[in-house]
Amino acid sequence: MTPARSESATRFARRLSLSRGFSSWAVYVGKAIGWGTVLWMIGWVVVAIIAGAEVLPKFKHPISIHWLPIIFSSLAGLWLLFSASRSSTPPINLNGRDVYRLALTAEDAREVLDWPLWFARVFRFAVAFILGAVWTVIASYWFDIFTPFAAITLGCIAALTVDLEWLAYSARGTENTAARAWLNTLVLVVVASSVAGGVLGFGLASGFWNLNPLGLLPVGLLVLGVIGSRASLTAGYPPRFAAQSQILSTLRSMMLMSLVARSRPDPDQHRRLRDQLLGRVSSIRPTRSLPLPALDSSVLLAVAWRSALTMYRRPVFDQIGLVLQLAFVVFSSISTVSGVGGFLLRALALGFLLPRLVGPAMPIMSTPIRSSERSLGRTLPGLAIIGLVGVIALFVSSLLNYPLEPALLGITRTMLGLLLLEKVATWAGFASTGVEASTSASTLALVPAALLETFGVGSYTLTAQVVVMMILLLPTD
Amino acid sequence: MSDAPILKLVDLEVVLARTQILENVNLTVNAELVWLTGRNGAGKSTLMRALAGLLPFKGDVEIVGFSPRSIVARSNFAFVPDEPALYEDLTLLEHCRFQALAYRQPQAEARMLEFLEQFNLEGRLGEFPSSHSRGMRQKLSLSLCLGLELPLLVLDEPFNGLDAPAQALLSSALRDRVKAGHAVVVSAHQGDLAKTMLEGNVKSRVLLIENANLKDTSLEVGVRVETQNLKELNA
Repeated sequence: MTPARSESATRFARRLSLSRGFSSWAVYVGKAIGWGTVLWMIGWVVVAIIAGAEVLPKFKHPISIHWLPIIFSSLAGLWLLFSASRSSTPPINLNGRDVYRLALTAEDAREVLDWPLWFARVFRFAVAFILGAVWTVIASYWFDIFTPFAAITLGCIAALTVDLEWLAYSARGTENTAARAWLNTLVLVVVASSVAGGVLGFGLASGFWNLNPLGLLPVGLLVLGVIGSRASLTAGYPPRFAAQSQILSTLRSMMLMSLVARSRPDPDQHRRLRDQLLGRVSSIRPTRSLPLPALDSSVLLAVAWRSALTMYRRPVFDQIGLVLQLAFVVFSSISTVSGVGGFLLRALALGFLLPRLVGPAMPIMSTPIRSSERSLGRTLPGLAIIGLVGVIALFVSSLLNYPLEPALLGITRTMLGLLLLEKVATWAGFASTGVEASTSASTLALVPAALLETFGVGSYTLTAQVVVMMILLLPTD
Repeated sequence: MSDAPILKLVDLEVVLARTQILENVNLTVNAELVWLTGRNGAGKSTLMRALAGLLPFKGDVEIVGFSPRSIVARSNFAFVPDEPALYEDLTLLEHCRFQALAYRQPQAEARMLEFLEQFNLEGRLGEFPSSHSRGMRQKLSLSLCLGLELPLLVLDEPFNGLDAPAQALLSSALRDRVKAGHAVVVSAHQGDLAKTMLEGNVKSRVLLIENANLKDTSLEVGVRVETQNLKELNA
C-alpha cells in the first residue's frame, strides 16, 4: 500500500470511528438525559454566569494592577517549566488501532501522532480559553482594565504545555537530539519572556493586564512548540510510548467509566496501573505484605486478611490521610454544628470516608464464599481501624475532660455506615466506591440519630445505632 | 455425597440479547471427560458459564444435585474461564493460600504450588499476575483449579496460550482426574490434543454444539477417536 493510500484509509477509518462514536454518544445523552434538558441546563449556566458577573462587588477605586505582571508572569512561567520537567509519562495516549499503526506498520510516526497531539492541544486550549474569558470579565470589574487577549493567552499557554510535555518525554533517555534542542530552546524563551513580563511589563502573560498586541506572544510560542513536536517525531517515537499509551488508555477509560457510573475509580486498581505506567517495582511484586493466614483459618478470616492486605499495601500517605479523615469524622460528632447543616456536614464527611474502609470486591463469583462471610470479611479490617481510632478519640476526650458520648456516637455511626455501605453496594449491585452507595449509606447511618432527636429521645441514639449494627451483622444466608 | 450425577442439565435454554444461544440442552455427566467442541460462536463458553451459574438460563442445572449458585454446588466444582479470572491484588503464593481457604481445602495449597512448579512458575510466586503474560496467567488459573479435589472441573479453552510442555501436563492432569472418579468438562479446538487425551483409556465423550443444540458424538470408554469426530473437532 502506498503512503498516500494508507493516509487516506486512516483518515477514512478515523472519520468513521468518530462519526459512529459521536452518534452513539448523542443517542446515549438523548436517552439518558434528554437534549432538551441539556439545552435548558446550558441556558441556566449562562444565566448564572451573567448573574454572577453582575453581583461581583465593585470597588470605589479600582484595585492597583502594579503587582499583576509579576504574579501572572511567575505563575505562567512556573506552569510551563513544570510541564517541561514532566518526562515520565506522555501527555497523550492512542487508541488500540493507532498503537498498532504506530508500532507495527511502516507509517510515519508524525501521521499517527498528529491527531492526538492536536486533540490534546485543542482540549486544553478550550478549557483555558473559558477561564481566560472569565478573567476578562473580572478584570474589567475589579481592576478597570480591558484584557481581550487574556483568553487567547491562557489558551495558548495551556496548549503549549502539551508540546513541552511531549518534548520532555521524547528527550528523556533517548538519542532524540531534535527533541532535546527544541525543549531547551523553548525553556529558554519561556524563562526570558516570563522575566521580561515581570520586569518590563511585556512578555509571556502580558495579555492578562494590557491591550498591547505583544500580549499575543504565547501564540508564537505555541507555533514554535508545534514545530518542535513535529521535528522531534522525525526521529521516531519514544520506545516506551506504545506500552505506556495502552496503560494510559485503560486508566482514562476507568476515569470515564467512573464518571458515567457516578463513582470513583477503584483506587487500588488505579494505583496498580499507575505503578505499571511508571515501571515501579511495586507493579511486579509487593513492597509490603502481611503474614499469610494459617492453613486452618476460616473463610471469613481469609476474606478479612485479603481486605486488610489491600489496605496495608496502599501508600503511606493514603493511610495517614485515612486516619486523619476518620479522626475528623469521629470528632465532627463533638462539633456544635446542629440541625440540617450538621446533618449534611456529617453525611458528607462520612460519605467521603466510607469507601476507603471497605475491602476489595470479590469478582470471582463461582468461589464458595457465603455472602455473610464476604460481607463481614470485607468490613472487618475497616471496623478494627475505626475501633482503634475510636479508642484514641475516647482517650483524648477523657484527657481534655470532654464527655465521652459524642465520640462514642461518632465511632458507632461510622461503623454503622461501613456495614450499611457494604450491604447497600451488595444488594443494589453498586460499586462500593460509587456515589449512590456511599451517599445512601452515609445518609442511612445518620437516620437513627435524626429520628430520635426529632422525637426528643436523642439520648437513645447510641443504643439504637448499636442495635442496628447488630442486626446488620446477623448472617442472612 | 448423594447418588445424584455430578452434572445434570435438563432442557437448558440460554437467550442473550434476544438471540437463542442454546436450546433443549440435555446432558448428564459422571466420572468422565467431556470434550465440548463447535465452531467459534457456537455457544461453548455460554454453556459453560450457564452451568457455572454465571449466566441467566431456563431449565435445570444441577451440580451434585444442587443449583450451581448454591454454596454446596460451588464447593463441588471449579470453573476456569477462557480469560483467566484472578485477584490482581494478590501474588501467586497468596492466590494459592486464599483459594485453599476459600474452598476449605488446606491440603490443596501444596498441590497448587506443585503444579506451579511443574509449570515453571516457582520463581515467580511473590509476583502479581497482572505483570505476567497470558500463558503464565493461564497456568496460575489452572494450578488453582487443578490443586483442588473437586468432583467437577469446568475448563473453557484451557489449552489456549499454553506452551507444549504445559499442554502435555494439563492433558495428563485431566486424565488423572477422570481416573480418580471426577468429571471434567473441557472446551477446546485443538483436535490433536483431543486425540491424545481421549486415547488415554479414560471414559470420554465428544459433544458438538451446533445450531444451539448439543449433539452427542459419543465415544465410550477407551474407544479410539473416530476420524469423523476429529474432523468435527478440527472444523
